[in-house]
Amino acid sequence: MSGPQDDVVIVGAGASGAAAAWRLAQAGLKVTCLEQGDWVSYADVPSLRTDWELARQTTHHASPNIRRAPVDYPVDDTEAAIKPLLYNAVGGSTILWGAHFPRFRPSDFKVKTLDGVADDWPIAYEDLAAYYEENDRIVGVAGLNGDPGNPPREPRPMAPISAFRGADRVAAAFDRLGWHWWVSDVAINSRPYGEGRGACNNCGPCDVGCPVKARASADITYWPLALAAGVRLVTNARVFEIETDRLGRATGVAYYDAAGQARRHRAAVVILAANGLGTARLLHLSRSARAPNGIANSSGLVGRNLMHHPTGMVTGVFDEPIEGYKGPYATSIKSQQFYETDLSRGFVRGYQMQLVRSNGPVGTAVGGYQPRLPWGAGHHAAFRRVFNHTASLTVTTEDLPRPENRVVLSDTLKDAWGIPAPKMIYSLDQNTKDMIQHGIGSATRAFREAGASDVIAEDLVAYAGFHLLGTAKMGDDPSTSVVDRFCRSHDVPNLMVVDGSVFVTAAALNPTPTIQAVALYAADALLRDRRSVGVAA
Amino acid sequence: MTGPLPQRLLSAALDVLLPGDATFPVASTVGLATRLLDHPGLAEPALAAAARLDDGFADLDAAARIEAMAALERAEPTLFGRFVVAAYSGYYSTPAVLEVVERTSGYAARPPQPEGYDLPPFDPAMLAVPASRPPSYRPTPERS
Ligand SMILES: Cc1cc2nc3c(=O)[nH]c(=O)nc-3n(C[C@H](O)[C@H](O)[C@H](O)COP(=O)(O)OP(=O)(O)OC[C@H]3O[C@@H](n4cnc5c(N)ncnc54)[C@H](O)[C@@H]3O)c2cc1C
Repeated sequence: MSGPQDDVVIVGAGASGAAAAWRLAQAGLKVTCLEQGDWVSYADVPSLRTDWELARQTTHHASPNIRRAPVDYPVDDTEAAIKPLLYNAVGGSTILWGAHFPRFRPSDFKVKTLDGVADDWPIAYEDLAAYYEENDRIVGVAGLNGDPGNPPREPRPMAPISAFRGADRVAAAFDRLGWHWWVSDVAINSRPYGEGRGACNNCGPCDVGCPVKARASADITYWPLALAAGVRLVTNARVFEIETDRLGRATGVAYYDAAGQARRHRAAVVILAANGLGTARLLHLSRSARAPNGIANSSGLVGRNLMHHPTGMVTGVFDEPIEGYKGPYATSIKSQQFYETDLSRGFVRGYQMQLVRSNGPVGTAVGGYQPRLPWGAGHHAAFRRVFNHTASLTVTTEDLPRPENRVVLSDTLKDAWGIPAPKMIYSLDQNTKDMIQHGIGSATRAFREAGASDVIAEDLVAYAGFHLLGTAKMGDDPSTSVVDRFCRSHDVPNLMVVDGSVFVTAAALNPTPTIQAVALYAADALLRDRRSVGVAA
Repeated sequence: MTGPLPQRLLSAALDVLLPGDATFPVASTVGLATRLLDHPGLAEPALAAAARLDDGFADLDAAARIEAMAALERAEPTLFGRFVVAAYSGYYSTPAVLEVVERTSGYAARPPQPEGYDLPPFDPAMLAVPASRPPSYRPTPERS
């Protein structure tokens, strides 16, 4: 068999794959990225159409099981309390994302030492700090430094995006309650920033397409840079196996091209960036006599410790119009008042409250933030009461890792190419349930203080599986982790994972800045050690 | 399956969900059943729910129709939920309904883009209170 075609092949062109691809190619490595989806067009996004909300419920739904686009793979979620949300395209799930962009706190990396639960990460905030900064500059972050709840950081590349009436009221309430809050860091342009990217015009629904390119999805941030650096990006390429040699080293991957033709791509290093679901699926799919339980799985932990951010949602209904449909839907301000452990609250670890805006008429009726409106005689009055009159606080909890929460292969579902689908098995433990109840109490108090005349709470938002973490855990001990502190498989040294699968714990906030910082950090580690893993100098 | 019977039955079911009032139109006056049946993503849940109702549903009196729908919701909450989502999605994206929303709320019945909305820039003075606080993030052990 001939030698590798490339130094590196990356599976997945989302937030992490794009960052790693750029970094490695810029340093001179020959990189190919295989992506199951395609480029999205900015010319005909739903936000330009009157039926945009209909698209959001159907063709552009964040669940692949509802959207059922030809490029998607289905996910068996019959045993999952939280349903998976993701997107398959160049840019990955950031095509739909809300672009809330918080960093982990230093304590998030050390929960075992601090609180005696889960595990510490083998790396610390300080190991990632410079990568967070670099990522912020490339992605383009709007915000303001000075948050007393987080370590100092460089001046934000842009001033914060606009607040809204709900934020004015809730911020003042937080102040009266003496609670921590700060304006959110967001990956949304408040002024033109980056190549061909304009300023946010407050249209509202970031998830149905941002033709201004203000919202930083990876297709318009890292990908132009990565392509300019020489990365070869192959779209409509579904990887179904990581291939190995007699010694168990990775030799490349096998994939189906757009025509369904099986192909092979050889590389000195294989990097998985297919997210916490797709990566675990691919590792499980890659079985051999040497690795009967899937590649890189001598610990038995591939797919295990699946973490989300179980989310309660509390909505304040105000008598006066709030105009929450104006401005980026998922972002404004956040409170980390209840972020750290205080055992007197009856649970360990904590939660963040993120103030989100509100929805258009369909989103209000079907229940995006507040629960679905009742049908029948009371429907129209209920609609008038809440539409344009609400703001919502998420109760974003830290989900501690549990091995029984896991990704396996489905026995029943396959994608259009016959590749077994992943199955998510997931439930909440009592600690998380208690945390959500506490958060609902806090958010209710905040809304009452803010003058809301009514407060509606939802215990658990089922369609909130947008953060897919922990399924190929990082650690120093090969018997209790899948990859090492540099994101390399303990079993297969030239196989790496750079997406959220490697997370040891999930923190209580949105993960993508940390996912991308880890991807850049792991890419640098590979560049440093390239000879030892077989990449020509 | 999309012949006159299911269409009539579906229309009657939608009128139970969205009966209209002094401000909003009842579902059938905006042609909601046709709208759902014409949309690939909405037709399936609509027809699936309609298929669970008795053929004579449309001829029941108002109270019996409500009870039949409530019974379906109790028996098959997932299917019923998908039906409600399809109904609301179709209804609130209908131009005639959006006009009412615009008239009664000030919400502009147009696509979000390319116009967007004006909002005042963020005022950093809002942060005066939290900015005056000392660091509050939790110390971590020194690195060895
Ligand atoms: C609706 C929504 C809102 C969100 N909001 C936020 C937010 O506000 N803040 C935040 O931090 N995060 C948010 N997220 C999460 C964020 O999008 C993800 O954390 C991030 O995209 C993960 O990056 P990734 O590279 O690990 O995976 P992804 O970005 O999902 O990319 C993985 C890529 O791998 C490809 N792939 C998978 N399997 C294969 C295969 N076998 N062969 C080839 N290609 C494959 C997929 O097609 C996909 O493009 C949101 C997500 C969603 C869905």
